Amino acid sequence: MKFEKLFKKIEKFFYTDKEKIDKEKKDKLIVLLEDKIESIKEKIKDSSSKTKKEKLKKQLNALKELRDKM
Amino acid sequence: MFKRAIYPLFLLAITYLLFSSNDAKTIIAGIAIFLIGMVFMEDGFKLFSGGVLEKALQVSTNSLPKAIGTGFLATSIVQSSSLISIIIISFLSAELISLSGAIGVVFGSNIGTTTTAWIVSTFGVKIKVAQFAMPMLIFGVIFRFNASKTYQGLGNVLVGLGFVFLGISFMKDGFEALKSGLDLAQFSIEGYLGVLVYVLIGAVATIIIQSSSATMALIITALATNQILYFNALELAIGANIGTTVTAVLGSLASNLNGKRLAVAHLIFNMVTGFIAIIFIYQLADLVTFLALKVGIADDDYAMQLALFHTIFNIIGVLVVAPFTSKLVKFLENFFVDKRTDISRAKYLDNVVIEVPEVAILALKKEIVHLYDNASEVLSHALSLHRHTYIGMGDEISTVVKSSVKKIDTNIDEFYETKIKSLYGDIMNYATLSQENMSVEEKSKIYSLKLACRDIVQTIKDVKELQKNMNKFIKSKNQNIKDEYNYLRENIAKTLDEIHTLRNNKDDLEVLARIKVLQDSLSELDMIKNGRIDSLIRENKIESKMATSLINDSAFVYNISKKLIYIATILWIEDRQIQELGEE
Repeated sequence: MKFEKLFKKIEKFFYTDKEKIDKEKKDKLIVLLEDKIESIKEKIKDSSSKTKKEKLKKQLNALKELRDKM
Repeated sequence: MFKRAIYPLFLLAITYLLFSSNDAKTIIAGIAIFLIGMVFMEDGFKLFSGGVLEKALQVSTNSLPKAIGTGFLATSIVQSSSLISIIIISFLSAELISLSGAIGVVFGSNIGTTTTAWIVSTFGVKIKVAQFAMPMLIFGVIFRFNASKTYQGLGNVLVGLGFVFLGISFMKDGFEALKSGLDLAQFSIEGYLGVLVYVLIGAVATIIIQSSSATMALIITALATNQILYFNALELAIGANIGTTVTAVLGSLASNLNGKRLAVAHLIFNMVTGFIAIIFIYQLADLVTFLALKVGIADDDYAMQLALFHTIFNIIGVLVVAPFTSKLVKFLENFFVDKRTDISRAKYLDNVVIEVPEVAILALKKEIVHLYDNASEVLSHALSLHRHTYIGMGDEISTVVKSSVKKIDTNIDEFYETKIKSLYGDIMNYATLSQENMSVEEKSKIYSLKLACRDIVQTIKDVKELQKNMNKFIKSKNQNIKDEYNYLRENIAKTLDEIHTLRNNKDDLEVLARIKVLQDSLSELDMIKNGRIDSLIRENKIESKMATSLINDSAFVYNISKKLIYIATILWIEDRQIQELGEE
């Protein structure tokens, strides 16, 4: 039994679960995207220039679209 | 001819030694194993560092004392001054650090390399290091099979250390056995003649072995087994320090201007240090004896006293040469002058650094940015625009475009021959050669960089086609076709302007958002799909011939803009995962 545990630990050490790593990376990226979206929203609120607001809105939509695709 | 003859002679001499003496065979095998250990350690640190070493070297070289400290620490840890030199040359080429910062690192690296002597004299000759070598080799090999790059690097470092220890053990055994048959100490020469002869032997041995660390290990083991006299060992150590610069100078022949400057700085430093050490050798030996007593090194522990001597004379060298660093920089910059020609060639690609993946990728990226800058110049001129008139103008670009209709006299073919073709060739050649030592992930980065490079060149070919009609129609009496072609020019100018803004942005997600907006605006260029052409024809605003030209040329502009956006994604988004989102 002890050996079984040991072998599992060794296997875990040598085996890289690519799917798990990819999922973790993806989740991390979604969080980063969410943060960025929020920060752009804030920037839109704070901005007084109409042109700048338009540009930021376009960026916001682009990032939202990316997040939804993920 | 001489070089061709010397190699077989060297092989013959080694073969003779191997067959004539069993002890010599053990010593030479020890050197070989030691050297292979150094190679493994260097390879290990290349993988293991994962960019940390590079980042540390990059940020801590802004003042000379800091650069010296960084060079010392990095070389002490990595145990390879050549790896540090490679990284420093690449940073210098990429203009990430100054020449004085790089010289500072070389000074520090010279002190750092003396830690090898301390390791060999403390552990190597006093304990049975072969016992430690075996577990290191075993665990090292196991780690090498791990999927993680960090573990693979650690494995290589352990295998390297194992071989280094094993090599020292072989050398020690060889010298101990040799002692019973032949006492090399009887060949000792006293006085300054002895100093010069032994310095020369040390230098030649290092040039042959191509590693001062291996020569130092050899000297210390020979000294520890009483095969050479302490004083002669000091002279050999000075020689090893001089010999190692010959290796650096030879290595720099394949390097660019910065590599050569740094190698000569290294040569000057070691020559000056060697000269001081030769002149004051007796006083330095007394200083070592005095300091050895103070720090508790035994009277008869000559191996450690030699390590102390090695460190002291390198520190003295730094103290003497460092105050003249700015003069040295000036001299090197005047001595190696950049001979600019009309033909644009690679500025950042260095054959010396090609073996370090992270650094090779960095150099390639810098060079492709160089190619992009050349290409954006020709793109602007082909559109009858000067970059300084529209870059940074934002919404004013439209007005600038409308007012700039005078043709700029640029021969695109000639420009391609002088500023693009050779540089493109250099980049592709370097990218292909650099891939040999790379992981799958790194190869994929190189692949994307190659595609970006190809796209840069393609934009020039596309703009050449566009230029034919554009020059004609922007001066047309038909205001409608004139407006349409100005709209196309404006589109490329706006894309180039946006890329110019985003390239200095370090926030990958913000760059991605801007790139996505640019991608969305591409659809406006599809004149058939958005019905723009239809309305122009229907309302008789343009002739049918003009319409076909406009359809074709808008396709060229679409392709150019699309390629420029892809290039920006590859060059100015650092994170691979975010980059992939931009590529979709």
